[in-house]
Amino acid sequence: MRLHRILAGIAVAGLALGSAWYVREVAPASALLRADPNAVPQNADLMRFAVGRGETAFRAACAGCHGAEAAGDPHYGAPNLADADWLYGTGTPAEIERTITYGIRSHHPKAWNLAAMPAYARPVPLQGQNFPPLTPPEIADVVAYVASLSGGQADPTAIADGADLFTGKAGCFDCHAADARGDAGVGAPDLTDKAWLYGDSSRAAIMETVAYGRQGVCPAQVGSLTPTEIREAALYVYALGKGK
Amino acid sequence: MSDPTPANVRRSLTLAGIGAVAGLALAGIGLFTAKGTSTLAVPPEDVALVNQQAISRVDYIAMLQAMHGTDLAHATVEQKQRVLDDMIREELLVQRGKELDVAGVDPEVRATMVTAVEQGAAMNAFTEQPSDQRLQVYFDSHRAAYASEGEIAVRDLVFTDANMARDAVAALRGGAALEAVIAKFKARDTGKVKGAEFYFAAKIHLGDALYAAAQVLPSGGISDPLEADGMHVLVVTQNTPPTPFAFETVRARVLDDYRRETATKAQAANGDFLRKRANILIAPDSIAKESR
Repeated sequence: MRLHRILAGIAVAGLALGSAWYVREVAPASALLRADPNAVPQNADLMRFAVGRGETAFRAACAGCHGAEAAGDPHYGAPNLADADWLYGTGTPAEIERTITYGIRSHHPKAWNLAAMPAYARPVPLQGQNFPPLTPPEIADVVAYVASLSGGQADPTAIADGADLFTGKAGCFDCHAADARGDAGVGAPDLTDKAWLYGDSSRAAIMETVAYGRQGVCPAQVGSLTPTEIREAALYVYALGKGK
Repeated sequence: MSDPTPANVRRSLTLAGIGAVAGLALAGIGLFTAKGTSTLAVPPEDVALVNQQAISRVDYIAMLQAMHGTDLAHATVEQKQRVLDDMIREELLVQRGKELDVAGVDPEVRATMVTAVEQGAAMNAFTEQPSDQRLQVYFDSHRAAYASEGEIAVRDLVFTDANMARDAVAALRGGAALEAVIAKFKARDTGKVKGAEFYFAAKIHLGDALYAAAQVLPSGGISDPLEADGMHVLVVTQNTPPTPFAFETVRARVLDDYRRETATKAQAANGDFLRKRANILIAPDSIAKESR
């Protein structure tokens, strides 16, 4: 008699725990995955659920480069994810999710991989592309022009020559646009703001970029994180940028 | 030992029934959600299953954006339907392509598959974030790769004969002004190197022999007369040899190179693995020295 009651109690407790687990974990995770990612921020409950768990996924997969606070690391060109400056796309949850899923130059066939920064001090600045190498004075002029875009002082002649190279021979405008405001479609940074992906606004840092190129990588997490974890991480990152 | 009462029998049957229902439910969930099994429900991360092959929501949303420039919230039902139809059609054709072994006959498909598999092998290398310490070790063992490009500015003068060239060299080394020497000895400046150039560019412009002579001269150095399709004298106005970079300066490049090298190794290892597990038979005459 007593044994039967204990067994019945265990069965009921098991069912209750299972139901609670389903209601707390499985159902919201399923709802989260089925939802339009861009609409989730308007759903406070789902957003709370996702952001709460997204930090764990972020720390496991992204914090190694972007830092625990997601402030980025200019040594490696890992962008600050806590600001409103988006390198790829406009910072919607769907775009962030795609980046986390397939990465940037990650070698995944669906990764963002439309452009890379040529190395103008190399005989072939960018494999497979027709960018010509520049001479040392030309590179110095481009650096002067780029520095001037965000308020740096330089010789006006060098700036003018650099501008000509930017919109002409060097082909910088192809990715960064003629007004140097960048192109989020290919991940080309806006050069007129004061947000620096690599290094800082110093001439040495800009010179390193122009002369020797950049081809930063964001790994694809499609095999490492579950679809739920990826969406949670995407919404966590979105929330860090405060949805700007 | 007494017979069970009707109440005990009822309770036992009820408990057994609950257990059976719970077991069946768990088995059902496992059966229809486990990977590799056939399922009647579309997983929440997907928008469709085509012969059990998933079409993911991420790809669906990206396709909506690419085809119609809109997101899920703003796409019309027709746009969503069209995109989904296209993706299902593509999946069906890909599956049919596998059945027909298109990769066996189409060189483009083969090339794409080769690239995709190689990329896949390299992908893991790009997922790893090596420690600064490991990057420092890599940097230390590849220091020569992390130096600035050397820069050189050189005037390449051509003289009508060896005597003129020799006299001009003596005058230049004696301190005569370059332009005066050019005029006096009727030299021609080839203008091959325009201002300061990187070493690689100067080498292309001067040719190997003249570049080799120029590169070893310091700033202000004057070469001996050189016979190279005419009598040449090189006047090096600036020569800045490559300068090694500090690790801090090139850390991002070191990471890129480290990953690329790791990826190359992973691709090679993948190739070795595939060969090892494959059953390859080679005709004895296929690599014979002579074929008739």
